[in-house]
Amino acid sequence: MRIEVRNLTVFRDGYPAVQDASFAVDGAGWTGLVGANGSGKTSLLRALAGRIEVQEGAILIDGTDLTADRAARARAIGFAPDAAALPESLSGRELFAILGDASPGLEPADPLAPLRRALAFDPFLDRRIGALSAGMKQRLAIFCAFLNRPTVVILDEPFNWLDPICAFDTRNALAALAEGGLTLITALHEMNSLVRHCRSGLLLSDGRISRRLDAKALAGGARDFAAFEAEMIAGLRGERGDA
Amino acid sequence: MANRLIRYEARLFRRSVGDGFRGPADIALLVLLAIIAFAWLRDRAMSARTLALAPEAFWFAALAVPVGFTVQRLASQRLAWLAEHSPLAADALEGRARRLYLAIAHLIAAVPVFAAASLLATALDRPAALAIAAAAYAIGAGSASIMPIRRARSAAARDGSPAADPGSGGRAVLALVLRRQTGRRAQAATWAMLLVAGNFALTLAAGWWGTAQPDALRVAMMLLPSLVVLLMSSRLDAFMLGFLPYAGYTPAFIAAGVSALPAASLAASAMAAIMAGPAANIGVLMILVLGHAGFILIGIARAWLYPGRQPRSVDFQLQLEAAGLLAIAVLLPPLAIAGLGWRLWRFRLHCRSFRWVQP
Repeated sequence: MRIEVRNLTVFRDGYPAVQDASFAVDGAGWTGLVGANGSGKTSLLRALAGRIEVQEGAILIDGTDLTADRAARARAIGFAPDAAALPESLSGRELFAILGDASPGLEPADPLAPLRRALAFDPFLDRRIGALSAGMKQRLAIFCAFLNRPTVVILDEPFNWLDPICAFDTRNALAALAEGGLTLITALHEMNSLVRHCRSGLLLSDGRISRRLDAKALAGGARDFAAFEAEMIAGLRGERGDA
Repeated sequence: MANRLIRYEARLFRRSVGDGFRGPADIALLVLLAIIAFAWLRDRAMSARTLALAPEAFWFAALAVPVGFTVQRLASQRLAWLAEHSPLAADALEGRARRLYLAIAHLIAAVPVFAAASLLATALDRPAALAIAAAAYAIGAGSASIMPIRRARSAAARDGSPAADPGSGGRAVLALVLRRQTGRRAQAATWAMLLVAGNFALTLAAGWWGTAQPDALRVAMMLLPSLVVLLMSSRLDAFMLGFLPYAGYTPAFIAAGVSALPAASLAASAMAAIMAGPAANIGVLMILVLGHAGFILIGIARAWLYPGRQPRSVDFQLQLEAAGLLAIAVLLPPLAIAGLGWRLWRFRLHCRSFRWVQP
């Protein structure tokens, strides 16, 4: 699936959270979106997934302009909700059953099985979501994005609140899904995942795409990670005006 | 898709009702409230026989317009929230599912409205009144549907979500409660003290100034500062309060935290009312005590019910229960006091049952 964004502008509460952003994500693989807090990552991802309206520009999926059709984008793209927005009075199992699949990823041959094992939510799947810790809720929220088995999934900072074991396992499971045909776009805060797992990267500063990283640049970053990280942080600092 | 959205909401509603009214005694209370409401409505209807047609039409419209408006508005806001934040965003954006959702919301709201309207129309022998109610309901819903829906925010997305203060846990929690109540992110405790001092000064000044004024004006002026403070103190952070039991805070601590500002306001305004001239201010004093007590009790009930519950369903439940208790208080005051104590006890048990849980 090809997602193309042309001159996208998204307003949030009267200010332009995303301005004139243009990029394309072509086919399977993991694309990382990096930026400082408040740089517009969440607004951009939510706009792509149909969760919020777009004020200017265009979003094309497989060549079809779906800018005005939020429902079609929401159907086509799996999106993990905020962990805090999950229904507190339901259990994870009840939520999954309503979303369409009570036992996803249980069969060993199921492509979602490795992700389910990585997220390891079975011990608390029957407990009310309101009684879970932030990390537990985050595990359920991530899995929600995959329940309808979309070919494109967007996750907004998926590793927040996860413990180191779960974060490690989940990163690997997501990378395997991306290698197996999934188009995955995530906001990221650590450069390690970007260079180790992503096929392409985007830097967002003050709502604008300030830099694009292709597979070659990321492979170079993996070879000399310290230099790559320093360069990226310096770039982000400079763009924030902190330098 | 439409089915999925309705199933989701129905499950949440059933769970909320189940949380709020768990045992047979809770259900008995609901039945009692329904009987009292029916009896009251019937009594009103019978005594309304002498009304002329024009006021009848006015009252039917006055009943139906705000209900239609509110239902349309609340359902649209809920759909907007679901479309941005929930796992069922695709469903909440789909045209057929949205239409079905709105239709069911209106159906649910219309049943009690038209039941009440039918009762009144039959008692008054004015079948045309039903048509007036239907038209008024449609006008209310229609006018709400053309109004824009503001951005749907989740608890996690609020800009004003406060960060923890340094210092001991208890003081930090009280500071967080006061921040929300005063609307001040910095120096919330100082602002709270200023509010209480302002309440004292304004109530005292109104008492002195009002000695030459009509009683009604004097009482209103003396009560106004307290009302402002109470309305401010009713702003509670459901997300934070819902988390406190998990973090080990007891129901008594939570109750004390949310009651600190209104209790201080009561002490200040009562002292001012006494200083302004005790003989003429007994009535004011009683209203102050009852008003503050009401706000404090509702605040405690909200804070105790928020853990593990949807804030909106908690507020809705408490509105229903408060209305019911008021009705009981008019008819059988001792039963209302017993009912209040019993409900608070249940809410406290609910709050206490939550603990930090790890697998």
